[in-house]
Amino acid sequence: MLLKVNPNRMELLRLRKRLATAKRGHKLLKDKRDALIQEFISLVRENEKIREELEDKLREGYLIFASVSSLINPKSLEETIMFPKAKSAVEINFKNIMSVKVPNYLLKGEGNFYAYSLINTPPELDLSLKYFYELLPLMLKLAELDKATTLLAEEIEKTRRRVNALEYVLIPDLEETVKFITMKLDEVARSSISAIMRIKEIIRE
Amino acid sequence: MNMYKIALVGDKDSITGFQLLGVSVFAVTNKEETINILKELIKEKYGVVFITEEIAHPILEEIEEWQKSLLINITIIPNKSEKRELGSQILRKNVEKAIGTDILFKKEGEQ
Repeated sequence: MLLKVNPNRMELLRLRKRLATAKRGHKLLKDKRDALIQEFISLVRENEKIREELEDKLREGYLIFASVSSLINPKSLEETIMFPKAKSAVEINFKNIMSVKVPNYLLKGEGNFYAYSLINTPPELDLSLKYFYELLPLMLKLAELDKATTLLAEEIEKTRRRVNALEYVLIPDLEETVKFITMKLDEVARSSISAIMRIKEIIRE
Repeated sequence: MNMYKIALVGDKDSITGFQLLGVSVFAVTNKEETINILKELIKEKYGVVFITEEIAHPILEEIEEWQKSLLINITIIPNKSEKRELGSQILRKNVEKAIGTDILFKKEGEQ
């Protein structure tokens, strides 16, 4: 589609500049998209692997804990877990993947989690706690990968749209308009030359 | 230091085990409760929220929206009973969105 511009030399120069920028932007965005996809695929593979591992392990953990709850009456279990002494928190740092900010989690555990009466609880509780505790880093890793893949997918989609818009809309439009203006200018030049020639003839006679 | 808290949202049986580790545990039963709690968590200083599949299923859209736009990270973990694979479903959706086709998981189907 032709852009709506006046066919003069000023416009032509301006459009040529824009075309050059658009082409450069297109190339850069294409490179960005390719790099993002590469990164994305490796992240997805890792995500898949870790999710599978975690799902199996979590299920096992639930089973262990279920056996705990069956060994202890619900009320004293509630009492036991009512006041946890330990504190878990995460430190978030950001990693930059092609200008997408991807979080990175670091688990900071504090305090001892065996903070309950050992007499009133079955030893399985200790086991299940230890099991869950060891599972936490893996869960955080999965969370990290989940977020990263979501953000990257979003960014890839955006970049791809931009690449396509440049490639199929903006650049062809600009090229067409530049061609149109060049032709128009040539036409004007030709007509003025023929006019001058004609005037010359008239004056000579 | 950027310290954030961890939370678990889900049905009571699945998640109580984590309480002694110092993770905030929120037991919920229905959709409204879940959304309210998640909104609370977003306002507070929580970095990572794990939510069990069964609870996450009805509010999947909200979760995806939050996951895209906010600092908070809502990750789906399986719950005690059945296997629904919601987590890998989301992953698959992301792959499809980014690449156009489901190139990574096709192999599984063929095998």
